[in-house]
Amino acid sequence: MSAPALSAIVTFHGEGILAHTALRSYALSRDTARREGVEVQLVLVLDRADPQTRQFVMGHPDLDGSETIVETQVGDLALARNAGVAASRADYICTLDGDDLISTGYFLMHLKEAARMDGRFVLHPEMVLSFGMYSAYNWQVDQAGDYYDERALLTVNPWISAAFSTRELYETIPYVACYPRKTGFGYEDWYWNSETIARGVVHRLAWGSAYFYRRKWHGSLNEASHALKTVIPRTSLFALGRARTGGSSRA
Amino acid sequence: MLDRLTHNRWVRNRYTRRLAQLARRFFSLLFGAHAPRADAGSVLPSGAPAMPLWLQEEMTRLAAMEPELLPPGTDFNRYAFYSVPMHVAPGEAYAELANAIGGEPYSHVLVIPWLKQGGADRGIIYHANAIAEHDPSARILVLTTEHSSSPWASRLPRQATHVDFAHAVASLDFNQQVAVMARLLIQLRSPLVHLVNSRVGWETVLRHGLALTQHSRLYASIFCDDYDERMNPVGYARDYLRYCYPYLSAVICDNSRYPQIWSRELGVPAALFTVVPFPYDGQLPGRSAAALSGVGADRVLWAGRLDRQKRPDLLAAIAARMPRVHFDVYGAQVMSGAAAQDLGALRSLPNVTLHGEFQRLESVASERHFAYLHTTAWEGTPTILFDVAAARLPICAPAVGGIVDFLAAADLISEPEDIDAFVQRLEQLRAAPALRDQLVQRQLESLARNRQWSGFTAALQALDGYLVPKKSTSTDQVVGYA
Repeated sequence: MSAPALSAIVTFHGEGILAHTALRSYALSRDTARREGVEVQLVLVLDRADPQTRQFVMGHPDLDGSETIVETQVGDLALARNAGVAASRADYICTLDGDDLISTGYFLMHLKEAARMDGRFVLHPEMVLSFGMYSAYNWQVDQAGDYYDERALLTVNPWISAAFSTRELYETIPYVACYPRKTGFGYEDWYWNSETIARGVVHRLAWGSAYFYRRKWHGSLNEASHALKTVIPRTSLFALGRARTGGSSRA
Repeated sequence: MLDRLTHNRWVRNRYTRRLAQLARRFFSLLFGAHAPRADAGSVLPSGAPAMPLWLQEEMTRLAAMEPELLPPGTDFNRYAFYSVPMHVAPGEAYAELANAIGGEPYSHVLVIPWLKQGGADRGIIYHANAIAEHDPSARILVLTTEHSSSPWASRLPRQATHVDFAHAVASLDFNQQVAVMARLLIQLRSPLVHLVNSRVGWETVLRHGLALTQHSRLYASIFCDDYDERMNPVGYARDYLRYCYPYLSAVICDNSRYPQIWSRELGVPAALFTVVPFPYDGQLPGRSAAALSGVGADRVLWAGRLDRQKRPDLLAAIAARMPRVHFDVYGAQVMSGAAAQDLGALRSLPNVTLHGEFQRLESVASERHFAYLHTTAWEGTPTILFDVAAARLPICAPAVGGIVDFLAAADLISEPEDIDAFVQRLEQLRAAPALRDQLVQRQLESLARNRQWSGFTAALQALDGYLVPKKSTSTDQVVGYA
């Protein structure tokens, strides 16, 4: 088997049987990549996973032994992802949640777009289809496009958590644990997006890829962050005294 | 039109989604089920971009493994277009404020409504002066959050920077203002944040108190309750204290009465409150000074804001009972509605003169006044009484709020609506110059004993971490890069 071009980190905690569906989707996209001669390493991070979730992941019929299983007890999504980064072998890394789905060409489209990129970048899927509690579709925001405005990040996180970049970037700017119940800080993705932008990283889109985002009725991390009224920690993006020219900066 | 109703907005909850499904079912009955969705690149009748075909195909492929994607009886039309909102106004306001505030850290942040003539405003300046006096290198940021001028900002010490928060966020709704305030305070990480009568400030603590306490100690000043038309207590203590107190290092109050009331009525721990009496900032006459009133003094002075709180109806009733005494009434008239009738009653009395606004109490107090009359329904500590005491006028006031901290109960009217008692007391003061002298003496002693600047700063110094802020100790968890 060839060296992986991409390591896809999937984090699990308490997804239960929904982990089964997510892994089917991720394995299907891996098969699509393999047919094009591209190997994808699935890095499955079980962070304090409940027995049911662990069972659905470990016994999944689509696993072929090439996957890397990482078991952690950090109890935090950001730290679990960082553990996944440490176990990744490819030069490119993407993050996925343990209960969502992706388009079949997801990995290929991201790699194709990455090959066209210069400088430091993060890719997000072009489209998000939310299903479950909400039924909606949206195009994500291209930082190089006219619609993007940095000032909006004060009140909105323009991107979902699924991200793709180089291993170097994930190692240089790791996710940060927020411990929302203890600190009142949260939204680690929003925070990571803000920090990467402040450091000159550009968030672009992998055109032709879609993320199928399960909107849970109860129990999602976003819901928890919202209920706790958490805010992102102090970020370089909104540093007082940081030079701002009209408040907006684009790639 | 139907799409506008069902697709234009994010379908936020199960009820609106069910309504939308019912509407679509009805639409399908009328025009045929499963009408094909528009092609990629096209737009829906609502003007929203249609779901691209490639996404529809992907969904069809994945629907076999995920039953919730296209449940039986539904099609792609169940999905509404959504666009990520790029609201720039809050970020724009934030950028303006960030530029005004600058990158240098502040030791203290005072979040206040405005700085203009008023007792609380006087107190805010006292606090700023005490901080600056204790540490000349202190850096104080004063954020005014109500859209109103702050002429007293010029009275702040040179260590203070006033930034007009309200002006920068004027175009934002309240929730957005709170978001901007939260971001500012989190970015500032000032070791001390002091909140005084700012609703945006209180709401920020309510929503994000836990995050704020990671790097800042939060203090609040509340002076008293207000009361609505039914005389139910209202105000910041009632709105916020129950839920915000866990985040507050202390609640500073200028009187001893209200901490007891809030502890008793709301259950807020008594230990949270610290009484810091406001000082008198004028010159004290010699302690042996006699009353200002001349031997034949036959007038009463009343000075204050003519509003519902200060009970002009009581003033009118008292004046009506004392036709041989003239009442000089000073103060801005801020009455409206039924309460304005009380002013009408006052105007109709021949022994009452409404003089309008005044600047300094000393300039309106005269030898012809045998007493200063203070009528009120509720109070914190009315600092005008300090000015009256220093002007050597005998005070006739009710035992309300923080007045009891300043004057002995025996020198006060025990029931604030007891017109007979007011009249009796005023007659006694009119008739007995010796009584006036004794009372003035006690008033001056109280000023000298309890209202010195040194006492005020000592009380703040005793407040852990106020004058010399310490890092918050609520957690040892450092979150973030910055």
